[in-house]
Amino acid sequence: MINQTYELNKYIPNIELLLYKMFCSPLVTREQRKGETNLLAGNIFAAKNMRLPVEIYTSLFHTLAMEPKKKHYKKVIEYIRAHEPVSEVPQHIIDKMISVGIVCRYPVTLGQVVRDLIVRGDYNIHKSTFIEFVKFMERSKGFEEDAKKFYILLSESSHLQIDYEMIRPLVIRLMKRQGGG
Amino acid sequence: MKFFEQLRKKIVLNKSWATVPTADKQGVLRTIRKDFYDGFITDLMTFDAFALAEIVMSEKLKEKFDLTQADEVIALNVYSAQKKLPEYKEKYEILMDPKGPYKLDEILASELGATLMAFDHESDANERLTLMERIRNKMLDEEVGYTADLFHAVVYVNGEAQQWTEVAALLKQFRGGSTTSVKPEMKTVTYIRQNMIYCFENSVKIELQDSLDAFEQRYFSYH
Repeated sequence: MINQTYELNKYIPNIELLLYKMFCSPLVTREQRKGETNLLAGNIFAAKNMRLPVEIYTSLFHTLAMEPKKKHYKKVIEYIRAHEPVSEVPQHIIDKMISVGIVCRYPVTLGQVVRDLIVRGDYNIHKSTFIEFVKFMERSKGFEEDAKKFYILLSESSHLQIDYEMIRPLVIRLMKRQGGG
Repeated sequence: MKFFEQLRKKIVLNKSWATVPTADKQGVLRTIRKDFYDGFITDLMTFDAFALAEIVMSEKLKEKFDLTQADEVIALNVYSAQKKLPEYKEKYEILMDPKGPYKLDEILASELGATLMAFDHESDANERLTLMERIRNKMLDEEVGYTADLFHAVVYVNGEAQQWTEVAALLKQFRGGSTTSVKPEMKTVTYIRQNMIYCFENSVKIELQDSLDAFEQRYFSYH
């Protein structure tokens, strides 16, 4: 499929955007989707229950970072959660997932996503990715307290272990802001 | 502080430790908790939050971790920054105890000297001088060399107490090829030159000047 899309590249100037459009545009009409809670309803890949290579997800996240749309961001994440086994989602894809949420400033969505990644899926999140996420939440107005609660959630993970190195960036930020208080 | 309280109680091992024997788990958890306290205290001290560092330190003591030399040195720094001499002396005695677990080396002597410099109140001058003297005597007994910082601290403490004869003797000792090693820095020489004006006894001043010239010739001359 990748080869085919690159073949297409000769004829279409932005194949990544085309892939994004293919992934995010549902085949069913708005009328048919009314009342539908499944984000992937009408998704051509989901209809075939396909597992996609990591390069596809990387491309989708890159395009999302360029053209942010929260609903489509949720669709990509939902697709990964629904179609990829937890153990086979590499850390760099989770890193992209979280980075895009940070770049596009989705604290609510990102908070829910990370909570689910830890509690429901037990995904292998890299330590530095988690630290960046907590720092973002702490920077987001109104989410400062929520940021700290994520450290407590780590007891549910098999991959992330709370330690001072993880907490330190937040401690430093707090001390800089409050002058040691 | 609120953040510290919130997190301190919530430091637990994650799910991956579920099948590990309890004794091993406790060991790992204690290490993580100790690192948490140590890291937090160090960062608080970096931000000059010494009072908070002291509170965290007392919380750490309640957990009954095995104390190491690094822990005692942290406490030494916390008390010295707050100029709490009685508490400082308690730690000083532990570190200097000949029957104690800690051996005086260049690093420890340097820490002791540097922290003593903070007690710059006039009422602490004599006490500080005595404590510094004890460090020097112990260093002599245990053949410990002087680091640049410790040498500066010794000169500074003696200089501030107007013990210029002692400073001159110290310079003379090293200029003459003492068996104890010293790694002086120019800041010490500069300090002596700048503060020599407070040496009012002419004979001492001349002796100090001669010793300083010879000392400088030996350690900072390129000829």
